[in-house]
Amino acid sequence: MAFCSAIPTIPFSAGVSRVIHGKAVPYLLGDPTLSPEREDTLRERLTAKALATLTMAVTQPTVFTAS
Amino acid sequence: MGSVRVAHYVNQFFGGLGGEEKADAMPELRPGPVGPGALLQQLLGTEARIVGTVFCGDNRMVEHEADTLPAVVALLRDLAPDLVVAGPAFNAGRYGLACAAVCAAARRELGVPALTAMFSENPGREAADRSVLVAVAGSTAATMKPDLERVAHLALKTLRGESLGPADVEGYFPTGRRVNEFGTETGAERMVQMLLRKLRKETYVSELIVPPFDHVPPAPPVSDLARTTLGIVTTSGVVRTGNPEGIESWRATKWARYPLAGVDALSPDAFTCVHGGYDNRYIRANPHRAVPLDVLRRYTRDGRVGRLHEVLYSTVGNVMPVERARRLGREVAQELRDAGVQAVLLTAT
Repeated sequence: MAFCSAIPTIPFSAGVSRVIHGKAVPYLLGDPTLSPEREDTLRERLTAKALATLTMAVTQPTVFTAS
Repeated sequence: MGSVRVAHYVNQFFGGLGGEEKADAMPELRPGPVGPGALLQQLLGTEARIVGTVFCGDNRMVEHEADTLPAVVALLRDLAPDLVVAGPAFNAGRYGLACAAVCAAARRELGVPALTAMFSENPGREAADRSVLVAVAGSTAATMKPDLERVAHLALKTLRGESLGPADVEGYFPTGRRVNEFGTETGAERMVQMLLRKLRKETYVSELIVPPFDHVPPAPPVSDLARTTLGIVTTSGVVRTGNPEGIESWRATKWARYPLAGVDALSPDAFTCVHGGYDNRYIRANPHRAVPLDVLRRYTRDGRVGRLHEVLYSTVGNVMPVERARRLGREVAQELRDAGVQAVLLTAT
């Protein structure tokens, strides 16, 4: 499971193995201040990162950030 | 001998039938105490009497619970008990699960109190219904005597209708029940004393219980996303418009299952957000900001992701008690597993 959260310390401290740092609490995978095209790119980047962590081996709770 | 009747449940090993080779044994009833029941009877003294012992193979109970549990309950019912005691199961997993199931069924079907005992890490402890009292036991039968002393103590208190003191004093696992009591000092005074003890590096006990979290071993990675069935779960509060399931905006008690077959995008007409813990207007305007179905559809079309499990599982994570989150999580995980889902994207907030 890949867990997207705007506050990664919460899932991290609960022992979640793969945590992805989302954008913000009210828009985890988006940003209403961006144009629709740029927002789509942002969402795709975060989603792609989350999916990529599913293919990575981890041994303990790990927080990933999209580049 | 007292007239108060206790029925005891043990597995095939403690029933003296045999070890693993007898783990398929059918439920059976013997009059009076058997195995550890002899010592338990001694500890109960004259106040309560073990009228019979039901035993059953661990595999029989765990693998065929649907047939076996009713048979065990029927045998227990014949004993007309005032209390059902199961175990101690120590750290034996199947035995612990069986004890938890028998005690919950005794409460439910016979309407009598039920008590078991096991080691803190026994999976039966997690499985035990909150109505079942679980005494603290060691990991092996080496601690049989002190463990049974605790069981006898709790059994007699229960039978007398006496209220139990705190879990750590009485020797049972916390049940989550809180009981108000009057102290002689105010909270401020107790807090300052606690702080002073901490500064002096002395031991102190906090009055705030932080719920324990699980240590979950990480799942192995999937080897190839293009051959993976992906499930989507969210605690962000994205629900169908009108919230027909009535998911609460905080302290949610349920989750919903939304079919995604034929749904290419989460339109703001068909989906909304009922999470009460943040300003949810941006998610209501575009639910993809919480559940990226648009991206995932693109990825399954271009082959980067094998396929999507065509259901969105949704709840509201706002102020959900850990214990309930655990139950809801287990229910959703079971569905995902049954559906052959190999990996999950969970979006929280």
